Amino acid sequence: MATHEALVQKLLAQSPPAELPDVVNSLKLLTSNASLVDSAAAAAARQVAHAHMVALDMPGGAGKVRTVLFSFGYSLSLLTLIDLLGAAHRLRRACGRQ
Amino acid sequence: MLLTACGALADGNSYLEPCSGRVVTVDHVAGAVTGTRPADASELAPPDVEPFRVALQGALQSYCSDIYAPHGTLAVYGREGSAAAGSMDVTVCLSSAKANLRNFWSGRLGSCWQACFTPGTGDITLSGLMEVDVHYCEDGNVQLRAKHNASTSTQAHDAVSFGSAVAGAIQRAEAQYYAALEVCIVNSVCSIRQTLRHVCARVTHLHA
Repeated sequence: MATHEALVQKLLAQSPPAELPDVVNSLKLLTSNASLVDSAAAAAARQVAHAHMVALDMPGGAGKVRTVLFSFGYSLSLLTLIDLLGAAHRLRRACGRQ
Repeated sequence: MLLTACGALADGNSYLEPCSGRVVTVDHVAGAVTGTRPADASELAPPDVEPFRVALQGALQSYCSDIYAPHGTLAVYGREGSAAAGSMDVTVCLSSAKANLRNFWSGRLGSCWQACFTPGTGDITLSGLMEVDVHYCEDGNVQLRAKHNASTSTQAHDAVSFGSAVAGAIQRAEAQYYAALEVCIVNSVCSIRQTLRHVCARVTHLHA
């Protein structure tokens, strides 16, 4: 059981940003063992939080450095990367259909 | 506040929030803050390190707001250094994430920098890790995970010059990496598109 839990924890720790709950639900369906996934999720959530440096809102908003202004610097670059990856994927699909 | 390994306390669920000087207890599974308390003196940066930590945080705030917008968060931690007696380590964590799971994408940018400084010598050694993580999953699964280690050095003689020198070095290193990454991605997408054009043209010709 410990090996299974370690395996599930390893899979959960590789979750993409903000997708841990979805990966937990998918693994529950795949393994049909919700308690195993839940116990692995507790440890994996900490690992993911550290690896992704997850931001949480402080009660009262202290310790937060955020802005509502949109930057045309590297924030745009992140969106560009997502768009470019999406465009490449759509092209592959379109080519595969022909 | 950021959940980072640098800010984690011994119990595993509590984190130092250096900006407000509070310790925050977190429910990792729920992704929520469950309680806060004032940090003990042993949990905060030592008094001789604190002016350097505050100066660096002040110097990086506008950079974080501008470049990591709109969801950028910054945390700067300070502690006594291990390199030499009287040295100090100041760690900077910058993170930004964006997700739109209904449209099948999410992504994050993050970097963690450690500045080692010995007052008197003026030498600052900087080492950092920059990460980009993007996931696109509409009818498929496309991921980009890029990591880059960088190191540089600079000079400072007091807390104010420390803040501006380290912030400037971090900004230069990150600008260089993200620009190189963007060029690399654009080139690879262009080459994929050209290759697919040839394949598509050939397939269309065969089926004509």
